[in-house]
Amino acid sequence: MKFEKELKSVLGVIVFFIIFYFLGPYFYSNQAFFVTMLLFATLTLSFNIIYGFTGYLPFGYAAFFGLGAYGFGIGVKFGLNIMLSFLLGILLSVGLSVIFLPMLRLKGAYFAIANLASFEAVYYIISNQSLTPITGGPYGLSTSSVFSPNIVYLISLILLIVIIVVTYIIKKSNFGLALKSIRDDQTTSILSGINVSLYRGIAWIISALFAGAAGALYGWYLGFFYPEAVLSITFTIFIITFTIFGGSGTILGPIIGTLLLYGIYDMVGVSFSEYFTLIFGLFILILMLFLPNGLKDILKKYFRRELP
Amino acid sequence: MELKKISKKFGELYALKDVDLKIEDEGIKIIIGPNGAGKTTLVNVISGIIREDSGYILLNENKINHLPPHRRAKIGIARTYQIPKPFMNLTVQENILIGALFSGKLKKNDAIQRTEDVLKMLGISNIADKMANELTSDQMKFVDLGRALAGNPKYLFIDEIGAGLTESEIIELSNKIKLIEKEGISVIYIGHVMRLVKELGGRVIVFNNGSPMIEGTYEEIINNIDVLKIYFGEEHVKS
Repeated sequence: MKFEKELKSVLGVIVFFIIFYFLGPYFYSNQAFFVTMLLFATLTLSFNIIYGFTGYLPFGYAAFFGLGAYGFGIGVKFGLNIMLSFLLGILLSVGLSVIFLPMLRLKGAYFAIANLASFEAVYYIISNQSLTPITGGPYGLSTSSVFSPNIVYLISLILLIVIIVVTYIIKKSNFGLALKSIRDDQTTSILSGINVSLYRGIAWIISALFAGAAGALYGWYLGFFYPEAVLSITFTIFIITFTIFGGSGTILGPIIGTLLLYGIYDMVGVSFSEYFTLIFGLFILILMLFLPNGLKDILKKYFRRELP
Repeated sequence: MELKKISKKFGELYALKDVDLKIEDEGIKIIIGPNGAGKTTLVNVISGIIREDSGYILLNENKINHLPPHRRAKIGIARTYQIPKPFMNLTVQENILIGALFSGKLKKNDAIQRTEDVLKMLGISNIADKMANELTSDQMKFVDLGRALAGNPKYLFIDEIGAGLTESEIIELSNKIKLIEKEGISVIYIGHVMRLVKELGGRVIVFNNGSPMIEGTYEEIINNIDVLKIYFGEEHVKS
């Protein structure tokens, strides 16, 4: 019974995004908003795979997103076709996650800080002036030669649907159960026969793969970007907030978080652009004080229902 | 299972010193000893959480020293914790299911069946759907035991489970442990609670200063002068 219900909500949310994709631009003629929304939802869900399931909080998560964009940009710069450039973006991001694997031996705040520091390292390497011939250094990269916003919009939708399905599969599988056990207690997981370093490593790489893909699409959509535009700590803060607001470890939580909060962010940003960081910051503060586990908790407490 | 000359030092102190120990494939074995005698270190070394400094562990004539703890769990070495650490944000059923799936390498349906059997055997079916963080510490001990048991281990090391129980609870616990032993699992109880030791009635090994000092039945042990000396101090024991 429970299985049925969860599958239904997954199908429901996919249908919702398909309608959103087609009808959205009729109500609000700002395609960039919708593309960013879809990519943010993808990024939030991929972040959820590592944070929501295993409990590791990567404060430098935007590095995967940024490297995805840079992989794509570098591919275009050196004349690769779009497909290969896209794959290069994913490859760079996955490669970085493999390099970062030993970091998962750290726990809690130590991991978060180490990851933040490594993000800074990635940022300074990419934006280094001496690497200008490859990464464009501080001057950024142009992908305008392959600019095709409508195609990016469509692929973003497909990518989002894929990660929704992947999250569902993980959540239902023994693999997902093992990840949740790692989140709760690593020693007990090991004693239960779970190869902790292997499982969390796989989750980490899957997570980086989707973040890289989302980043590549973002780099493609922008047409031109410099380091801050794709390698920004703001992305990390956004997705952490979105995930926690909705409810980590669920499928719908991160999606609802993105839709609501990014919607509010965009609204406030357009109407009161000079105040938007202030208002958004206050909002996050209130959330963390009164709703530390997000909507998931409200549902559980007052309606006795689990968020799928 | 056999331990040969296992030693483990913490700083200058021997937690385990040249431990030779044979653990049979069936029956109940009991390891007692004063605090700091090395009992828990012994379980940590056998389960692979701590690496020994020297010596080796044999299982069916094969050395298992190089195996990481998750592999040891898969070949039938299970343990519980003195202070249970269940998966707090999972249900009791999921906690035990994890043992059946990963230690026991069972297929999903078999694992679910095994979980049900274990819940029944330990008498905790009524709390199956509760989250582990809602349980009392006594219930947590049973969840931890269930998780270890679900993998159908060859050896089950139970690290102090009887502390703070009443007379009737101890008898109940003892009956459950005997039931586990009847499944063909070799149970090793490590602890202090002499009432439970008496009830279980297996061979007792007394640990002192990092090595086994004496082995015998409950009656032999409690009347042994050396055992009395290590528990009460030389000056309080008249020969």
